[in-house]
Amino acid sequence: MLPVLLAVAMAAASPALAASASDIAALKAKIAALSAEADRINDANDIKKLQRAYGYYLDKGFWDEAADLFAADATLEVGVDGVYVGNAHIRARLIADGGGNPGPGLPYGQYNHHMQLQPEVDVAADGRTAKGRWREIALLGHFHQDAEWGTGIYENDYVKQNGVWKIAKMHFFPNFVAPYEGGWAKLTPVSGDWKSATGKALPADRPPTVTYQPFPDNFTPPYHYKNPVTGQ
Amino acid sequence: MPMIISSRRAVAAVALAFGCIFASGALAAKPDSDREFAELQALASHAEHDLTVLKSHDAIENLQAAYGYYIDKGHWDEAAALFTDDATYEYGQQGVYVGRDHIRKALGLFGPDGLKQGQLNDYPMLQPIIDVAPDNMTAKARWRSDSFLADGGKGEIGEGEYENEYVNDHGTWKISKLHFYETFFADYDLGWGAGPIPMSGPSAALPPDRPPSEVYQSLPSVYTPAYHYGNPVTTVTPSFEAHVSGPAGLPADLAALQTNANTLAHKVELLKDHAQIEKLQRAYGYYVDKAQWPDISQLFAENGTYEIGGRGVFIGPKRVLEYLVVGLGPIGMSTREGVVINHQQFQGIVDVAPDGKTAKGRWTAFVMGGGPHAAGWGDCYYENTYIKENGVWKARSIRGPFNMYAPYKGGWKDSATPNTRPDSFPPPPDLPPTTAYLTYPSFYATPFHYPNPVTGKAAPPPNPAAGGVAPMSAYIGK
Repeated sequence: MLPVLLAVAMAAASPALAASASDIAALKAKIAALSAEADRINDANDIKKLQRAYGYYLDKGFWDEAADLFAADATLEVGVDGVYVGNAHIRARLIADGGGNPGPGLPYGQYNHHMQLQPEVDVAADGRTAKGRWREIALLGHFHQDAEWGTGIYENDYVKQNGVWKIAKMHFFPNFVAPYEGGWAKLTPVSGDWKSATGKALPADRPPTVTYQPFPDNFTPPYHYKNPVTGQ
Repeated sequence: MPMIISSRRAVAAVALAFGCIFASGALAAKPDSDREFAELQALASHAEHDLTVLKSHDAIENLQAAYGYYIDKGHWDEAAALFTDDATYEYGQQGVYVGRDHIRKALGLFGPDGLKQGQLNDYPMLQPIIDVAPDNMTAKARWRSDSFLADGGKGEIGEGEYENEYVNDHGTWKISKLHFYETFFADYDLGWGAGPIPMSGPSAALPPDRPPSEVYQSLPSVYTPAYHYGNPVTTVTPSFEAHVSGPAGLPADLAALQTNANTLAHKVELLKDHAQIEKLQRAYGYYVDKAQWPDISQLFAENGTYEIGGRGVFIGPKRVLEYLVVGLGPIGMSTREGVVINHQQFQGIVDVAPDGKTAKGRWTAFVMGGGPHAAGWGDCYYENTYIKENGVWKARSIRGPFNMYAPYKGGWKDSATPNTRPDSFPPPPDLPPTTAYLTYPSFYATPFHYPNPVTGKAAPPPNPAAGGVAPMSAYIGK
């Protein structure tokens, strides 16, 4: 970069450069290209905000606010429960996951902390869509009743509609929900249909697109990106 | 002879070779326009440079995140491919492995390809502070991992920090040095208060190329890996937004270009502001970890305020320092034997005001704390404001409402620590708490500083019917 800056400094210092119409057109094009680059970085920031805001809404039982982050025809897929289609069904699923209380808010004693971590966000060159991988670490439970650890991976699609980024597809791959007492190391393999209680009570619109076994099996949710160095 | 701006080197060459030839005629005709055009060119080049660095920052964030996701699942080939040929890799006190091939083998010390049944190897990549060198050829970054491990039915929990280096290899960022400093690993059932596990030394089966570059011990000893960066307030180079205001009466095409260039420069400045504020908050977290109270007090603006839990409001850096030293303990207290105050700053939502002078941020702090035999969990939010003073971002208000504090034993099921109060320990605050609230198991949601990112509407207040506040007697003393 240094030689470039030097060159520009020289160009700037030299009084010799008369700006022709084509010079101006070229600089205009360069500024437009740089502006688009800045917009893509800003898009990535907006998408991180969107996903992090989702976590903060879940934390405190703001189900409507969380559901509003999805596009109208968005999908939400959880584990092997299947695919929930559309904003209204997603909203119902989020409320059911939170224990059925419509909120906003949580009952006394409920803990529902869902941290959204380790983003790997890639915005399409045209700035209209994006993909993101995230890790969730959750602290869950009810005072004097139960306490759990939860963890899983998100592979999400985002779409920009009328200048606003929305969640187009959320795919959460839970890896485990483990009792605090004893922790994850004491978990035993699931057998048969391991649909969640919520998934059974509130059936999805479509079957799961991916079936897998959670921890203590080792399943890798597919990466949306190629290896950042080898490109493979 | 038309100038081709898209090739900057050509500009330089032409300027050098033909500058004197053009000097006479063109300049005399349109001196203001020429000067203006040159300034706009310089402005665009500055923006280009800043954007190059910002893109590298994001590429490195993705690179290290990808590394973490591979380590999780035992994808050693993929992880090793992220290193340069001659990179170094150092984990705890296991020594230094040199070169990608040897690193690949060293990663295999975690376990077999794809891990064993029942093996958990989660190393989330968290709290990054990424600094790209001005020449965009190298970078350094600090990260941390809360590690969740299992093998053969035994669980471990751990935490450690990274100080890594990266190089730009013909446009692709690679890891040139990875150094993981272990803070602690502990048997899950015992926790870090009772059961820290001594670090393992170099592997006999796969000896490293070099002994450990730094000799230290994990908990109950305490070690602070050196920061690759200075204090983000006292050592930062002030940034001033570039802006061109040309003379009146410019030709229309140049005047339009000036507007575009200024808009671009402002956009880029806001992106830099965003990154700098993230760094400020994450640096704050690393300072709390090690009770580096003076560094924390220096992060505040002149009348900056500090409010943690229910302790009330402390105004200005001096009172912030007094609160920390008198209220919490002496400087460096967490470097005492067995003390942990991991105050991890995650999930930041930073919103910079359109004018680039102020900003707001929401964060979640995941706390691993406690002295010997008294480990505990904590979860508090931060809802902060920031201000740019003379080109430097500082904390205008740091407010950390508590969500949940509970002992390690039993976790958040059996007992919870109630919120602090102004009278719970000295010194007295300058102002009473801005809000009275009860922590978990009661419900309190500190307001969001931002409207819903999709609807643009503010969230409604919590529905009292959804929760409600229990009397303190419901959980004190249990």
